Amino acid sequence: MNRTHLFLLTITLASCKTVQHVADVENVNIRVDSAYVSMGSIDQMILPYKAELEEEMDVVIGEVEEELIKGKLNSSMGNFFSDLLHEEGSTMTEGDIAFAINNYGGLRIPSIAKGPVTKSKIFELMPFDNTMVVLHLSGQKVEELCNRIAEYGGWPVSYSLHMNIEGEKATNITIHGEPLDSQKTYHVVTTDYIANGGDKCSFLKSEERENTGVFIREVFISGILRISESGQTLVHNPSVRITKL
Amino acid sequence: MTLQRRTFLKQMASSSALLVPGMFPYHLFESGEVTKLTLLHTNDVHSRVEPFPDDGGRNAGRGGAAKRAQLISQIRQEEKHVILLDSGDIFQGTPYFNFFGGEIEFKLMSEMQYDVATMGNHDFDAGIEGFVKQLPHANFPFVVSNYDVNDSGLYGHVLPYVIKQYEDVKVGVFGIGIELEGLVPDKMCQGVVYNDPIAVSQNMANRLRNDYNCDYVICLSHLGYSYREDRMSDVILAANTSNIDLILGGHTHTFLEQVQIKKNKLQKPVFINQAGWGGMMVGRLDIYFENNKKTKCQTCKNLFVE
Repeated sequence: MNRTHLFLLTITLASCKTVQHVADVENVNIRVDSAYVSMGSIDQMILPYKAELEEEMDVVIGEVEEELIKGKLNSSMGNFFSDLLHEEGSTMTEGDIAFAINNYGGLRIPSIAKGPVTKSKIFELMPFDNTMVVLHLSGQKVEELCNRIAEYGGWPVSYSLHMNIEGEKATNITIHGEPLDSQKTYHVVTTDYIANGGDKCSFLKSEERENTGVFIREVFISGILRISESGQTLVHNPSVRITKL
Repeated sequence: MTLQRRTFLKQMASSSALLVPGMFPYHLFESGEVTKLTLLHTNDVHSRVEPFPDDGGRNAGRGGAAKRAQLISQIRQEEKHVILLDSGDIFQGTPYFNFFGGEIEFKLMSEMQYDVATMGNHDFDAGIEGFVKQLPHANFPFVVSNYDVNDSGLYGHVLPYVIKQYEDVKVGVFGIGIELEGLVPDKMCQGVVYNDPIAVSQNMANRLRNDYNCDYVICLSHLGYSYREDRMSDVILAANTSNIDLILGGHTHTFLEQVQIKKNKLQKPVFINQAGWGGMMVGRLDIYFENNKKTKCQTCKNLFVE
């Protein structure tokens, strides 16, 4: 076959070649609501996992004295878990802890009811595997962090930090009762999420830090167990930390 | 052309309806000229093995693997060709993940016969090692095209693309992941290099379309539907590429009431869909292919964009 024949053959083949046209597309995005029945074989697959989980999770770890409610400013839930993070942080690291913070969005449920609290409730509160980090911050970085908290309208912070919010700025910042000192280094306990720059905290990304590698959730669970083992109920300290002017 | 078909085309011409079910000339299936592919997809299921708990919240009773499986199984009984896809963030969000590391999630997806999935940022939450450890429980492949995994533990465990064939219709599927920096700690995704979604997608789509003769090209994306700020998303990807027919997204947990149709960089339509999160929605697209000459299509609707 010479070149011309080959060329003609190619043309002929090309003109006969068919393609798959996308002729039509129908769409419905189906909501998987309670109208659908469950497939029994799938329920059977889940069952052993569910049983093991429930056994682990339904363990009561403490008794909440008064409902803990989430809020941006001095909320019962925010105060309780920030103080717990502060206390547990002090036992796990060297040096004095200046304060502890949780970001508002990091606590994932709106409240914890009065009465017995189970391990599963703490999993709901903290489903993500965030770990505890101790940041070593200059006075100036602490001020930046406080300004971020002010801009947001308040975050859960521990008892040792006091500040006012004026407009979107933090003013009158004190730590353990002392005014913020720009020459000092402060040890701040928080989550790796915040330390990695999450929730508009990118100014913290390259700060010196200690990664504990311990899940915040485990910190909360062990802190609550420690309180319970000493025969106490879970009581929040209602002290005012942030004042919005 | 038969009279019957002429009548149909006339009806079509007078109808501006797009994506309205029950209008298709089903007799063409028998002649082998038309192939129907039913595509089902989920994203951001986030370890929601059980339905959302009955706690008075707005999601109470929604989702759950057992209900999803039942729904999918029903559709499989009704349709000849079903492809089932997931756009990532299979892991994290309930204690099932914290306790069992993703084992039950993969087992359930395998049982439902998922065909292909891509990785979301939360699928790194147990580290690469943790993800790879669970892969024996997944009987479906993961496609990850824009992460260079050559120097990571994912090497050999994920594919750049997958091609599926349904009768004479070839479907190419590739995967686009979100930038990991700032989302995933370095140690959890060690060695994974993020590459530009637009460049990689264009390259993948060209290869699938031109080198492998795919008739339909699907991008499983975990970029997110769209953002207020200038950030890579499915909408941006769609506008800046060609040869992609459909983007199935995730990450932004967007409940789209209906598939969105955008123009690509050659002004051709790209479909984008996303099915919320937590297994509360399953996206369904029934795609009809007509086998005909390049310039001829009897049943084609004008799938165009505003």
